Amino acid sequence: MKDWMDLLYVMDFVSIGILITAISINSLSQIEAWIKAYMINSWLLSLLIFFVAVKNPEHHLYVASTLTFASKGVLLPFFLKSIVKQMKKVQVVETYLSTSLSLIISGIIIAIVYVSLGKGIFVTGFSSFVLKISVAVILIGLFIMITRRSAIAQILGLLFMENGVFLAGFSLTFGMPSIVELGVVFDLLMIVIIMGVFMVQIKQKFSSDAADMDQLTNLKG
Amino acid sequence: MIGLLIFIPLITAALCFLVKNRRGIEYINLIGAAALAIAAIFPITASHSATIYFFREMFFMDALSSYFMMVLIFIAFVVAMYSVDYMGREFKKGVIGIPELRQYYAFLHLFIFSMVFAIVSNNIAFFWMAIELTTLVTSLLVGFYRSKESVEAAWKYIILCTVSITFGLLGVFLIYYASTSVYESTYQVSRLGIIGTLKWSELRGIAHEMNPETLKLAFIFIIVGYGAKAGLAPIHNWLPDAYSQAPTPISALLSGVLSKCAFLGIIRIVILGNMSLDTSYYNHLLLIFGLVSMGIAAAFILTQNNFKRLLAYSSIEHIGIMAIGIGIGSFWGVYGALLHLLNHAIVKTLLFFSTGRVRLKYNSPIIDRVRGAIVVLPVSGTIMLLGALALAGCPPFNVFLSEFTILKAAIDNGNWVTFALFILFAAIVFAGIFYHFGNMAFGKPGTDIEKGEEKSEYKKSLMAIIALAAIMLVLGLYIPGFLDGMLNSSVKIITGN
Repeated sequence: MKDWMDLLYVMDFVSIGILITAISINSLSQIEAWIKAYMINSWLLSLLIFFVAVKNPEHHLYVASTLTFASKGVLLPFFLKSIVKQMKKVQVVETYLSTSLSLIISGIIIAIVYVSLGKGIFVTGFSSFVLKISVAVILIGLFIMITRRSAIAQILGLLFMENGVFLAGFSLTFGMPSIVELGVVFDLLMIVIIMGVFMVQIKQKFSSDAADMDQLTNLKG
Repeated sequence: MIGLLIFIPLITAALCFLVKNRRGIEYINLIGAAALAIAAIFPITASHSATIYFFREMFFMDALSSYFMMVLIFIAFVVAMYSVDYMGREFKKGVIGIPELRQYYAFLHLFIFSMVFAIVSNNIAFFWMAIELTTLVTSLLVGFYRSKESVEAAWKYIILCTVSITFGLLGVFLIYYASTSVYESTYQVSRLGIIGTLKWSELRGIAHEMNPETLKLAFIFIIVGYGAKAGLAPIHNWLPDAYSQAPTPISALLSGVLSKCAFLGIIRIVILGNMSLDTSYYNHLLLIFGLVSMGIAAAFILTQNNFKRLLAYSSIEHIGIMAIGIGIGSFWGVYGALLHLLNHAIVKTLLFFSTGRVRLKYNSPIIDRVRGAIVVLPVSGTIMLLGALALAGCPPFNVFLSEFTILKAAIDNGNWVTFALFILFAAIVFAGIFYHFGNMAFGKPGTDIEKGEEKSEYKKSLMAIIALAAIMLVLGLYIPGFLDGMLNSSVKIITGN
């Protein structure tokens, strides 16, 4: 399996898939499609960790792969879908920028990351290529958070950032000790649940169709 | 010993959630806070001479963490006392019922638990998790009243802090990466069994071998991650909202202890940085963040019309002062910063408590609506004025002492730019605080306001306020020997000699 992986550049393809799923949300407008994109992104992340585990037989990598799949690939998308259902209307994510413009900006972000990390501040790591992708995913997640109005889009942007950070962690050091990964994932789950609670509250208090950030303007100065 | 410190708040939180009558919850809350304080005394004194470890070195207490622990247990106890009055009053008014009361106390003690956990973790990733946990718990406390404003504040808080702390996680990964390359080169570990360390005590031992560039990069992420939580300037936007919307005891705990816990995370990494090649980088970064914080806070304090928000901006100013003290880097700079941490915690808690009583009396947090507070509330009004003077940095009080120490260190080190800007911003803040609180304390009270303190039922919060005011006065004139010893050994850990 190892030879086959090297021959077909499987790892590179998987990491490019992670980047493409992150970019794709710029062009999607239905929030359910966003959740699907995030789900695929997490599956690919888990697959990548699995391939790294095959290459470097270490137990904690298999654990990390399963954990990523179970939490980010299954639990979180399921939870987010149920929240969207609770909000009733099929949501369209409103954006401050047009689709083409945000795609162009994502492209510029990737180009900047590739140029600035081109010289390689990092001595080792299993692939500097993957590191570039992970930084790009983090920045795209941040960009999405800034430019979208609805609360759930911000949560998804945050989740993409988190996936990017995890990818960076794996590209740098073959992952953290299992207990740390467990704790981080647990924190992430709790955060999304609490954000979901607040999102429902925002919707109730501000009595609108979507939990929209434009309404949060009471506190200033 | 350390295990006890971690479990007491957890058990207290669970009990508070399970018990279903008001008196019961209040007693459990008080007993829990007192038990934590008593249990902490022994490890604090023991760690003074040598670092103590617990559970496979996952947790530890050195002089620095015991100093933070001391601030935490003290403020936590006072907050527990004040909470009984504050929440009791809300309960009587019918704002909250028994379920909310249970939630409040359970979350309060979970919050204390997460800060204890942060202070004693030796593992930097555990520290990260603990800080993240504080975000979770406190966002629920900030949104406690479920009004439009508090939900908005809680949302801003959780989004901003989570995003920035995600960057902090990247910083932790980078430090781990730096440690793996040290182990790789020193012990010739093969590529497969690559192993690094996350334990701070081990990282400190190998810090001089780590790649300084990677460490610098990690520090940027760490200062963004924990700096947002601490309230350093460009990433402070959540802070005034959260402080003004949270219940008053929670605001005191957020400002008095939580921001310092996050700052501890930054200090720990600065210590690692100081061991590596180039220390001026870390110091300059801290000085810049500190001065920007002071400047922004000064501007907002002058134009503020809500006194809870004013206190929040003043927290930003003071965390900036601490960053400046650590950034100066000499013995007296760090000493002043650590002393300032305690002083600020005391004075800010005192001010949140006394203005909390003022707010309940006048039913408004707007500065223009509060007039003649010392006539209406002879005790808490006067103490509020004294606290405001102390906060602004007036001489006989403790904050002046620590700010003066930091300024003296700046002169000794020849940091003239820092010195000049510090004086400028401190003067603006002084004018702003004095103007606003002077207006609130003096003047003619409105006719509809009944004079006199509250009935004897609410004596506990008054006791807490008077005790804090006494400590504030004493610390301004004299630093007790044990405090001086703790400060000295903590400074040694930071400066490394």
